[in-house]
Amino acid sequence: MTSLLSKAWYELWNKKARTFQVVMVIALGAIGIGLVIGGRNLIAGTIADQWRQAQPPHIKLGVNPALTPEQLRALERIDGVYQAEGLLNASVEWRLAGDTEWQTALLESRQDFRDQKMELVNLVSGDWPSRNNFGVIKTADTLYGVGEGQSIEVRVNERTREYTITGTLKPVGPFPVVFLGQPVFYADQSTFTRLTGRNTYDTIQTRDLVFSQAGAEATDLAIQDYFEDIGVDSVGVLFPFQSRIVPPDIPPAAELLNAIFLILGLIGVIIITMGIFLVYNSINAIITQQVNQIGVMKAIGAKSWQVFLGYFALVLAFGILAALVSIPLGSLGARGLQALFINLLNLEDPGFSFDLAAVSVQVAVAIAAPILAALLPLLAGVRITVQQAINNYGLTGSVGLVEMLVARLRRLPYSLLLIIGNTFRNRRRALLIVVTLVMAGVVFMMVLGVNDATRYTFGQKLTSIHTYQLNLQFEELARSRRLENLALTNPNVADAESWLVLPGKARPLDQEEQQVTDARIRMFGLPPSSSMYQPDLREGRWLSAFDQRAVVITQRLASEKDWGVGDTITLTDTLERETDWQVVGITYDPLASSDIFMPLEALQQQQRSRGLTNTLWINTFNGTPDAARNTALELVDTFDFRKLGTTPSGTFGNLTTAEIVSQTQGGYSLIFQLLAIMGVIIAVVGGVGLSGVLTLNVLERRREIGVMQSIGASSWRVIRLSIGEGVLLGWVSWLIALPLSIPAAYLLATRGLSLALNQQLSYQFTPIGALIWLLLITILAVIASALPARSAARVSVRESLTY
Amino acid sequence: MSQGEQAAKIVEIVEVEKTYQVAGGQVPVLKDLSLTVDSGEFIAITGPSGNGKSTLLNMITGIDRPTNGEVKVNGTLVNAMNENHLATWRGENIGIIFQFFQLLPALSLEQNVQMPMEFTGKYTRRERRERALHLLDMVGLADQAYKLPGMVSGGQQQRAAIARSLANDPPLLIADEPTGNLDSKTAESIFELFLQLNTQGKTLLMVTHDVNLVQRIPRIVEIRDGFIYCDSIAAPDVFTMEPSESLTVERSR
Repeated sequence: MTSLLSKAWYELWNKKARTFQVVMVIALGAIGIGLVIGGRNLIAGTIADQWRQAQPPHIKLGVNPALTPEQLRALERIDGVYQAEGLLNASVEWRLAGDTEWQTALLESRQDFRDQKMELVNLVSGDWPSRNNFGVIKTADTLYGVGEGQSIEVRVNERTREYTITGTLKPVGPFPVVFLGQPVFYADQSTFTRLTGRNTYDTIQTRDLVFSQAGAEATDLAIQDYFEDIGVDSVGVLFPFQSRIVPPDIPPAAELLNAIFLILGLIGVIIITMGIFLVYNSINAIITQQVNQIGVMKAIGAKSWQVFLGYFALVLAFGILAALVSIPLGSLGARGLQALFINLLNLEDPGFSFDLAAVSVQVAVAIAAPILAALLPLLAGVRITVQQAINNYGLTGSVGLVEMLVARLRRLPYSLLLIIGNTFRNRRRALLIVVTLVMAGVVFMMVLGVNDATRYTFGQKLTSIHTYQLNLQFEELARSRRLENLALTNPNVADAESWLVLPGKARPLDQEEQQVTDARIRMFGLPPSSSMYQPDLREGRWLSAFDQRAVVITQRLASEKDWGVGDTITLTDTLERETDWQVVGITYDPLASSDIFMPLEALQQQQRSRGLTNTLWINTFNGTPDAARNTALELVDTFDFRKLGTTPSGTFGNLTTAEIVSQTQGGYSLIFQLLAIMGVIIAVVGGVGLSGVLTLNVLERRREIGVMQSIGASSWRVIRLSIGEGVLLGWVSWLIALPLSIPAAYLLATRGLSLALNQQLSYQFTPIGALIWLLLITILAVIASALPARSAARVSVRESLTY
Repeated sequence: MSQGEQAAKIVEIVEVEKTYQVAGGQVPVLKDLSLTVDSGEFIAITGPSGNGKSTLLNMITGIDRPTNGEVKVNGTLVNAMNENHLATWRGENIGIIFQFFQLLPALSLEQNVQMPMEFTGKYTRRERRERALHLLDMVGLADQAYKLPGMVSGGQQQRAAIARSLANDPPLLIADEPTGNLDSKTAESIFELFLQLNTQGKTLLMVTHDVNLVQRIPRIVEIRDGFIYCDSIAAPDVFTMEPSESLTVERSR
């Protein structure tokens, strides 16, 4: 077997370009899988480790009204509550001392920072919060320009005070500080109370000695019973699905992470499948080119299994090389993903490590994939008889459908006919590369389509429904006419409309009593013919001025609660008043997730707040983001001057629609970045594969090229033919991939990601992704054909016609 | 062993027919052909192109199978073996020399010569290496042993191919146009090698169009239209390289 192993080594070392192509195609697939598995495991592992270190609560609830210290202490007497801790949170406005513009922030406080029980916060530098001294979250200096040693002014309920930041704190465990869009300040309880006027706990968390799901559920029920006795409402607050109970070994957003990485993993499998097809093509070509060598070996005594082993050794060598290439690159890629999430979630960096599971899978894929791909061509190759192998020296070619069609197209230029004929001469090879490029194109266009979907959902779609430029939410109810008239005094305000927006709960009519599983909603009382809201109705009808007890609910709410048009639901307001309403319509709204719309007057009547509203929705003359922002701040000052306090972040988290759009789109950019990484890998695999196929085509037609050159073809003509073949394969694959990518993107956006993110995305086809892929595949095809084209042009007539 | 003495039959072809199926129908290439070759003979197989010469050789080597009839080589019924058995049997019993040399381009001359020995497993690694170098020396290529085929001339490649054909010391050598790709001087040197091997007891069957060579081979079998047209045995002075009249003229039809 020594000579056969020598032959395999020769093939590997002396055909470096081919070895590179085959190894890269396999390695890229293994890298993709390693990136996904390794990234997921490293990220999940980091989050889980640090989540455990944070001593996570078993139950975490937002409560309303906030609990007094006595009520909090009473919690600890409940069975299953070993420890209970209260948190105080408030939305505040802040600015650096000396600045003019106010920004929003979160202010957090605890019973005692030095004696924390759960969901710990570490002191990174400086001092713990103390009397009139704040702490600030780590990274606030880079993200928001505020850090330790600086003085800030903080405004709450028209009360403004100045504080110094004396310490930097960091939550132990994952904390999505980037997604918050605002800094977090920490104050001790006395400072918090003096500023906000409140010393009650709006968030409580409890732990038992040992966690069990059944135990935690029983404890939660006992807590609910206690809350019912004292007239307190509670809701789960754990990200992302507002869970009440979280097993401590399951970090927040674990399901979300798994869903995202599952999608990436599927793309990784597609990349490996592409690699298998391309390796099949390459091995098939090697066998085809060496048919006569196989024949000679058999003529001089080689058995089939000996020939098989000789080529198997070559395939195994490809796989081992691919494994060696992919392990470090896949690990680096996984580390890169981990670093991205560490930054996003404000985690401690555990340093570089290999994920053994990912490495094992990579090695297995790198070695198994080429073996699997090569099996059929190897088995076919060793069945070649001596007679089939050794007696063909002239130019040959079979005549099939393509050749006959080409022969009939007399009016087309000769070079075009040649390109078409050459491209599809080896139909199996052409089919495999087209299938591979189609897969690459579908995934690439699908990724861009998903990005388009998110941008569309939280851009054009959102603004087509929410047609106002800015929104203010007031701390108390006020006369609607007064609010609107005051707003109209601003020269940039074109139109103003006031609505009543109140929190509440909703349950089906046949459910007699309230339960914790009731939907937490906001009731939007608005004029049925509002010019600020253009509903995207999916079922039923919109509200009419004559409706007394009719509501339109969001599609998400309808889906979660399985409510439909015609159903009657019971709404409970904050004063526990209950009224029944009929669902007359279901609307899609990317911004209003669990919200219910009703006629303004009907809600005012139900609330005994006739003529009163608490939100203002405004259209401006100059709708640019900067102008809208400035107008919003001017209006806030205007209302402040008249003692009409506003909340710093409007109804949907930002004062202007432009800021809402920007923030929500930014939140999805991470998902797009992850998908884009896979898209790039897939495009590279496609390009490498195409280059391999074109190289094989040139090699197999050396004699033909020699004949063409001997009868007058220039080198440039030969190059053009090779490039033409590549571009033709690229364009054919694009034509097939385009109609497939549209439903794929639709399904990924509206089903896959929507489920994973618990956010209904809306899909609209835009040609941008298709055009980008067309351009990219054309460029890839030209680059991929460059080397083979050059080598084709360099073939000398003498060499190519000699045996 | 002289031509005139009784010798063991090494090749027996009995009423062999070979027909190919092509798009236009059936093409008979060999028609009811019978031939016997004694051990130690040197036979030239001649005839116009496309008349079945190479097909006949392929029947003997097992590369192709007859449609009808029997082919026995060294007592073994060749057309009854499957491909794997044929490969092993071929490696041990027949040395094949091709018109286009058919050396594996990825291996050195020495490795090419070693290959048949590896496939049959007759020798140890050390023996294979020693024997390969000995054979290359025998054909005058000792100093080219480690070069790749692409680095040596056509004549040297054909010499290496001859050395390879002798790797397992087979009793029968089959050469299909071995000098067809060589200049006359090189062809002459190759032919000298064949003569030498025949003197050493090897049985040789050689397809050739070279009239100068044909006249110097003791027995000439001419194939026309799939039949043996003429099977002549030359006078003993064939080895003096003088043209000679046939002693016996046989026609199979």
